[in-house]
Amino acid sequence: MVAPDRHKLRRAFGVAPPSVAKDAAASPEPAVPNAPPRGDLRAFLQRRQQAVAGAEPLRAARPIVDLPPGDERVGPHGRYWVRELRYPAEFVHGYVPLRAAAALDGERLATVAKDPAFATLQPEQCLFLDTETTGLAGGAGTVVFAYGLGFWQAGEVVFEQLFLRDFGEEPALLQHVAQRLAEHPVPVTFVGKSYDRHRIHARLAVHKIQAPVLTPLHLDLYHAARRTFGKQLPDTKLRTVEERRLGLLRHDDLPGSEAPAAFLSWVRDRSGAVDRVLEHNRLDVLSLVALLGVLAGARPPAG
Amino acid sequence: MDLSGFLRDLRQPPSAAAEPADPVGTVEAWHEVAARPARMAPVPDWLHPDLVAALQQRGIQELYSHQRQCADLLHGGRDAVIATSTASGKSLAYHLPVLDALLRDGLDARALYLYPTKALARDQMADVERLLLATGRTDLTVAVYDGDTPPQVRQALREHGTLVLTNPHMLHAGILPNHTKWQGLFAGLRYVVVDELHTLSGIYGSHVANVLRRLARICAHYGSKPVYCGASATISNAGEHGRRLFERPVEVVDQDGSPRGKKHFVFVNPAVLSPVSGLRVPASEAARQLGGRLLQSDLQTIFFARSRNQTEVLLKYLRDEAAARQIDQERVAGYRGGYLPNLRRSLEKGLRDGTIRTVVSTNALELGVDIGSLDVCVLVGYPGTVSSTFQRAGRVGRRSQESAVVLLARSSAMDQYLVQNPGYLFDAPRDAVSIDPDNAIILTNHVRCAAFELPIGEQEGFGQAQGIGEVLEFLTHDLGVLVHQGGRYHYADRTYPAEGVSLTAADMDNVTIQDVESRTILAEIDRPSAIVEVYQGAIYGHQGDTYLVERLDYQDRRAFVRRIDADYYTEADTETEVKILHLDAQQEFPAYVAHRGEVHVSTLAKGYKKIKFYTRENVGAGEIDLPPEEFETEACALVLQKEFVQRLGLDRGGEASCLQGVGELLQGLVPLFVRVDPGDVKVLAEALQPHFQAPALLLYDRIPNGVGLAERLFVVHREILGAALRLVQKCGCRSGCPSCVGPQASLGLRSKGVATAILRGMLGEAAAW
Repeated sequence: MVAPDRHKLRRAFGVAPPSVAKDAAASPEPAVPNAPPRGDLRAFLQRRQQAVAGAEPLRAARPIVDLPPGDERVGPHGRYWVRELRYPAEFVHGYVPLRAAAALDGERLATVAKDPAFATLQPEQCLFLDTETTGLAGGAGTVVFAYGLGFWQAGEVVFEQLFLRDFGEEPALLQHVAQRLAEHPVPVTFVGKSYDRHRIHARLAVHKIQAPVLTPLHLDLYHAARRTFGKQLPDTKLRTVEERRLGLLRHDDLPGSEAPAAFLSWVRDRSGAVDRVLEHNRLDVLSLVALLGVLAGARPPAG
Repeated sequence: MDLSGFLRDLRQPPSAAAEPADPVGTVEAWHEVAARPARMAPVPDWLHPDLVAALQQRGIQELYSHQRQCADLLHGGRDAVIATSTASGKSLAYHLPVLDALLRDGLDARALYLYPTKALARDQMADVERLLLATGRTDLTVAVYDGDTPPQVRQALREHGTLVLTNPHMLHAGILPNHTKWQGLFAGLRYVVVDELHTLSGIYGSHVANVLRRLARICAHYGSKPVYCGASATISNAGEHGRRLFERPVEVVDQDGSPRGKKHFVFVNPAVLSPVSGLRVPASEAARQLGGRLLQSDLQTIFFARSRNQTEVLLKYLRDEAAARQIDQERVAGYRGGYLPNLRRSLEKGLRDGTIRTVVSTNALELGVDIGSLDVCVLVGYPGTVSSTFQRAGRVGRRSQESAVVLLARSSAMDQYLVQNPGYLFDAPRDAVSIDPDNAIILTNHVRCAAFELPIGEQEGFGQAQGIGEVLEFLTHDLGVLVHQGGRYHYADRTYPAEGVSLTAADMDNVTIQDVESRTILAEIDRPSAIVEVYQGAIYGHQGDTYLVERLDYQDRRAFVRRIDADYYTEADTETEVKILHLDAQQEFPAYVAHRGEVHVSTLAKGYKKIKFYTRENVGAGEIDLPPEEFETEACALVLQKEFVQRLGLDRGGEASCLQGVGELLQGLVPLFVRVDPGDVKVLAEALQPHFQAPALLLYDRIPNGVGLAERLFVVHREILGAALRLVQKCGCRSGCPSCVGPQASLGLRSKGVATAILRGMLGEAAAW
């Protein structure tokens, strides 16, 4: 049995050999220049073309992206990065003060959420939750690299943002999320019932961390918003609802679809715009709080 | 006519004296396999009493010895491979310990069964359900999880499936990447059963071995240690194959305790049509003649044809024979891949209850689908491998009844070799099945999939694979899909890697065939075959009826057909072009240079011929306007040296074409040396190969991206050349025939002589020529 050879693999998978200087030590054999690949020829050529067109020089010039100010914490599973922000109830998101969600109209909530179990939901039980993942493919290997968590504490909204600086820190991060899920057992999300919670569940299982995420009551505001605004708005995407019902216009927002690429390049060479992803995630979580206030607050904001 | 009457007629053609030539041909050899009594063993004491009762309800008081032996091993926690004859009750051997565990431990004991096809999984599910039903237990979920499983039941199945039947592809692309949804199954997994182990050969088997490595990782993650069982047709290396697939020691159960009736193997060579050209009556025509006789008997018969097209043509012939004899045409049926599941189920039932008396099938009926036992098996051409031959032969003569297998030889080198040397089938060891799980490409693809499922530790390894470190570094630094952090390799890419890794070329997107009149879907066909079978103007055979293909929507993967009464069928002409991309090794010999490298293959369907049924006259032609099927693969090229070419005068047109004869010979012999299916390696002879500017033989791997067959050919090609020379020297023809270098008509009078000289020169020293 012969161990696979990296040069052959490069050729087989149509990957151009790295620049000689960088890899000289690691590769005793000379790289085969212009060796045609055995994989998809066209894809190989496209990749080569991109490389020639300047991906390499650009790489060196890309700036290092710094994370916003945050803390390093140490949990039972090691270190991880958290950013904590506190918002007083009077804080206005768009034109909605967060206090709108500080007390809930149980009956209305049960109606818009179409589940009588929500009639007795207390604001302190809510865990406003939004995740950023490495893709939409699903499966065990789609990683949650950022969690935005929001919850009420002493009349304020505590916003916690967890970011995966290093894959090795994921268990510590998940442990923190599990802790918050235990304290605030009802996740409040936007399309999270069919997406975020499954991703979290998968990552918990990969790291064998126990936390109930699939079983508990889950308030998905997407469905509530659709029932409430469906007939009035062209669609009930979060952006539309924010603009038309929360009065929030985002400037320079990084589209969610670009988040995976940003993270993946940051984790490799610190070049991806994860600062913008985190900002996007922060606004998403605040919108969840405001939206709940609009949909089912006991003292809805004057419209 | 009963079986003895049929055999008597074969021995002594009834009209031998009256007619000059019996159209079926001459019996070249006759081999009898003696009857064997059953060896029984009591039902084991450990078996759950409800299962004992269920067996009794089905009239089973005792087991065959091999069933008991295998069941005991599995129950005792030993991994085993059971390799006994077709229909010897292999599945009961593993059902017993598995169901015993499920009955005792409920949801804490789970089992996973893998079958190569969806049909087989469904068949086995029905079998297990019957057994469970007889035990009176209704709380255990037995279910097939595959592409046809409705989405609404999938979740329930993931959570509560105690016995999940699936296929390797689904395990690879659906279950393992989503293992977190299957925690119950993986945590409680007690047994893993892989059936039809012998089909997991070559490339496909190498892929499946890696899927099993991934499965083992997931089991370890959730803390289960399942017992493995493999069930196989009789192959010569069942134990070795099981050990390589499972990467653990296995016990082999191969002492078959099932009874067997006497079986006659009759080797028939169809009559020679023209002694000069060596052309014989086509095997399908001989099959029609034989079929006519069999239709009038009470003998239930299965014909195994070698292709879809041949199946349909023969089916039409036999239906015509039935009509001519005023026999109900419904008694004659076809069976092949591409037929929709419902049709297949009803055909299987018809065979079991005896309403279908004659069936024409491709290899689709070679696998363990339950069709009951038949009387006569007619092999229209040698199936290509020994185990395939015995698998097909196993379709007749179950239990103690006498049966017959008739091999109708084609003119090809392989078939002619067999009728001359029938001992090859019985004396030579059964085919060995070989896999190479550490094939670099296959391994790399699965390591990538494995990293997606769970991060891979630096020291973790991957089954018994060597050199994983290099693969991980490649995936990290070259392909950029992994990140090495915290002592582990983590999947860091947006893709779902299993989607990009196909275990077989066969699970590529299919083309559906729609009947424009009934607006229903008639059948399916894989895309590479579509360009040669359902192009516009083609006649598509289905259940003996002929349909005209009105349009092929290549983009949308749909072919539209209309039922017509055609008196012809169609055959596409294809042109294959092989471009050399890269060469990486060579061996020099006086007469030629052997290279190993990578090539780009494109196959273009250019046009088609209309061929009249029966007479095989060419009655028209048409053009095909479709894009080529393209792929890249590995090849072994044998390029003749300049001096040698000049010496033999191969640079002259007529002589050059003789290289094709050598190509034909090699094509037929390759499977004997590389142990693959005949279609897996293609030989192309080019009088002037553009890249080398010299005559060359190109032997390439037919699997996209290649899986190492070319490498093997590069090593053993001289043995193949030697066998080719022996075959051509022994052949009795004067100047070439279909059994050696091909009919002389197409290559000229000197073709045999020149081909012999080429082979002798390639094998010999320069001085010899």
